[in-house]
Amino acid sequence: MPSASASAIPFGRRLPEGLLILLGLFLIALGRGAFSARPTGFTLAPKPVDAVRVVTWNVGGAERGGKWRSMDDHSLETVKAVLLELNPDLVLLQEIGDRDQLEVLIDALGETWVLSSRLRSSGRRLAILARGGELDRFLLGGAAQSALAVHWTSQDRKISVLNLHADAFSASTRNEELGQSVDGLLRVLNGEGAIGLLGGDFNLDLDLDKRGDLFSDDQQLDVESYNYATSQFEDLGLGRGNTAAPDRRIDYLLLHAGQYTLGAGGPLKGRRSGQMDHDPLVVDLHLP
Amino acid sequence: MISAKGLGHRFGERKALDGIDFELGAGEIAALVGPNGSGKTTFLSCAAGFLRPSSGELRVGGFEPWRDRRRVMERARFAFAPPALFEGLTAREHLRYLGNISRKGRPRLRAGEIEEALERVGLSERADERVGAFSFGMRQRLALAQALTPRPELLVLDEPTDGLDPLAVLELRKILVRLREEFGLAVLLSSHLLIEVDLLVDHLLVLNEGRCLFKGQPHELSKGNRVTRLRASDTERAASVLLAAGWSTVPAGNGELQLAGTAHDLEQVRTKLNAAGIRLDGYWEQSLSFEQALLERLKAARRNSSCEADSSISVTMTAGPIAKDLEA
Amino acid sequence: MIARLECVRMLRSRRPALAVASLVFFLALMLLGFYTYAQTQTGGEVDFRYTYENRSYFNGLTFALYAFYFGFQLVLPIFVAAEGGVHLAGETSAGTMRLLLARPLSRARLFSTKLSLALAYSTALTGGFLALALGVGLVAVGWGDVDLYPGVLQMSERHEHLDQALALQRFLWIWPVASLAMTAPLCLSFLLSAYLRSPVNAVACSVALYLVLFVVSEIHFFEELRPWLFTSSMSYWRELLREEIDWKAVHQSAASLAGWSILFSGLALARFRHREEP
Repeated sequence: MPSASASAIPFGRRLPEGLLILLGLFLIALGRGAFSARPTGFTLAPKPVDAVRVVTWNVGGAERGGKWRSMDDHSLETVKAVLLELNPDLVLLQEIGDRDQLEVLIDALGETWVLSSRLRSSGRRLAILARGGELDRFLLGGAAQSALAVHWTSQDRKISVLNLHADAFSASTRNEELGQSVDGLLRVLNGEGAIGLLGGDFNLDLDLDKRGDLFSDDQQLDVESYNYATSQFEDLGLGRGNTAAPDRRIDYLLLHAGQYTLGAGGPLKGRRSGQMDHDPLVVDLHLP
Repeated sequence: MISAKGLGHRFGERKALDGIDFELGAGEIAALVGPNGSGKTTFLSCAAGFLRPSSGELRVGGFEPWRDRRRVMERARFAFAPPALFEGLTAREHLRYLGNISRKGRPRLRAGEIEEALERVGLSERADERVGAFSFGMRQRLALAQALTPRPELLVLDEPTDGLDPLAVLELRKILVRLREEFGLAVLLSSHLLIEVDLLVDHLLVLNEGRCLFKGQPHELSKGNRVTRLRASDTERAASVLLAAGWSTVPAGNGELQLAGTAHDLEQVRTKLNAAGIRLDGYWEQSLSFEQALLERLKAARRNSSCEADSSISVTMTAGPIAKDLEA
Repeated sequence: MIARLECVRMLRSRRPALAVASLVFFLALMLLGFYTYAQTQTGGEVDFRYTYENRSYFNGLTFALYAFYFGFQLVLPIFVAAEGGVHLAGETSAGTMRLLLARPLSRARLFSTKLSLALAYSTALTGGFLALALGVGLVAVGWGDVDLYPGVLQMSERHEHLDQALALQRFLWIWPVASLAMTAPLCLSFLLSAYLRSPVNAVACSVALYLVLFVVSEIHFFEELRPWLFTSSMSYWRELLREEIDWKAVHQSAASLAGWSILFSGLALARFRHREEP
């Protein structure tokens, strides 16, 4: 029969460290909140009455082996359905297959919608679709190949809009395209109250959480490109989640405006179809 | 001061201590003796509350060391081997800092106690040197000095004479005796150097493979321990003849045989050998020293381990530390 | 008395001097790196004080920030983990743990004294490193306003501008906030040190585990795992470099780090209080 010397350690003697362990676990659970605030994207809701809802969406797809292809007819149905659900006012699309697809979308959205598009050398189209008003295209200069720029005039409000699909492979090309887009758009924004919107697929991912090779030339160029653009424009999608597979934020909506209020926004998740690899990025803007 | 009843400790499956009974009263000096791995340090570690007994009961100064180590350490002081010290501190700092650690945070040392302890161990001259430069012997002395500050009721020393020169060993012995006489200090020391044990201690606990081999006063160990030796013309045949007659023998070197136990009849031995055509050239009895007696106990323990008196002892006449001899 | 003993022992050990020397060496390397970058990347066309861009982008405060950022993630934790490893495992291995436990001193008091001292050491080392980086920045480059841009060093996701006075105040705040972050690897090393009796193993395991957790927490791939790693919260002091500080995020990260530190300490204490000393 073992004596008291050999008996198990009584619970009371474990109490101090037990309390410490419980306190530690409690604080860890409390601090868990720092991570739970990850953006979940845009939640579909009726558009506020006085808001302008803007959408940018690369509707093309990515195939295995790294080949890109423009929107197919199956995806067209998806895009049409999503746009109808979203009820947007301004839509920037990249990687449209052909003009017929745009006609289908315009027909679906309604008679008041207007459209401007351009064919890129890759055979894919950029398009800007707007609810009512007029679209007046203007030329940019160097970035002409990859961007489409229009003045959208509607209800006494003029917004200069630039839809950019920047190069996916070369950081220096992206740097040039984005820089020229920013400069080109700024050139046409004359006077107080002028509103400029620069959106599209910029193909640069600077997520704070992702640690790439920070000191590669590409990374540095992308950082500089982004910093240059955001020195003049507000990044409306910042902190609102990733827009493209796999887990990248490469679609942007940048705004240059004297006064505005940013409402709900973010990528609308779960609406891709086929080989689409981007979510539509949606923001609600309250403009003067 | 120390009371152990059926004390046991296991390291996994191995029994490091098994059913040890031991008592040490105030003012007594006792020694734990045994070869390496016999359980001496395990016993001391249990007494210090460093190890948790797996069976039995152990009290030091009236407290269970594993549960009430702090209370035990208020009355007892331990010095383990090899002496572990803080390399960056001086001898004086060791005594000041360690000696003033108390359960309630109040300094415990009396004025002059540090000087007294340093003087006792002969380190006064080097009191302000960092121990990193100390020799092993000086470390041993400092370990003893720290164990004396503040003066305990029970002093437990693990191999205290390791690394000490003969004069220092003699001095240590005097210190311990004086502390006992002046302050009634109880001392438990473990050692494998038997000469210091023989001259110093009141009680002896011999351990082997975790078990008690002998418990009592040192002189009881060798009391009555005598052996018989003989020299014959043909040693090998003589051993066979005597074994057939019921007497076991062991070769003792130099062509001699050693008979187990004493009180053999010389005439009967001679008759048996002569009948086999073997000449008996010599026959004599010899008393065992304390050290030899202890060695015989340990060797006998290989066949029979108990605290009971063992009458079937075979003997070899070898001097020196037990451990060394057993290894040989 | 035990606290004084531990203080004297730490001050007499070579560990603090070695840590400071290593941090000074690290700062010298950083300075050299910036200098050579300015020379090679611009062909010597720009003054080192202005590096490759302009003074608004880089100055002594930016240098201090960069130096502290890397030092905090990769240099300080190593010395802090080493300190934790030495306290229990080193003591046990040297046999001096028995010397201390052979006194009327509870294990909890011994543990808390050692942990407190290690925390003070870690705090002093963090503050000293920050002050040294600022000092080197002032002397070698010269202070100025701090401008942070997205991307580079992941300091910020938008352009942040802090004027010099505000930036210096934020650096002062960073000291306790970063010191709290450093307690988690320290307490982890105490935990390992309570289990492993060899200081080499304890220190090596602490450093290796920290580095593994650090790498995992930096890789986006481990998104689901990252919230459960203390290393994911450690750089929360960067929040203090925002124009508008998100105090809620700061408090949550601080709670998480304090929680991990207390959890590791509790587990280490549980082990240390009830372990045998063979």
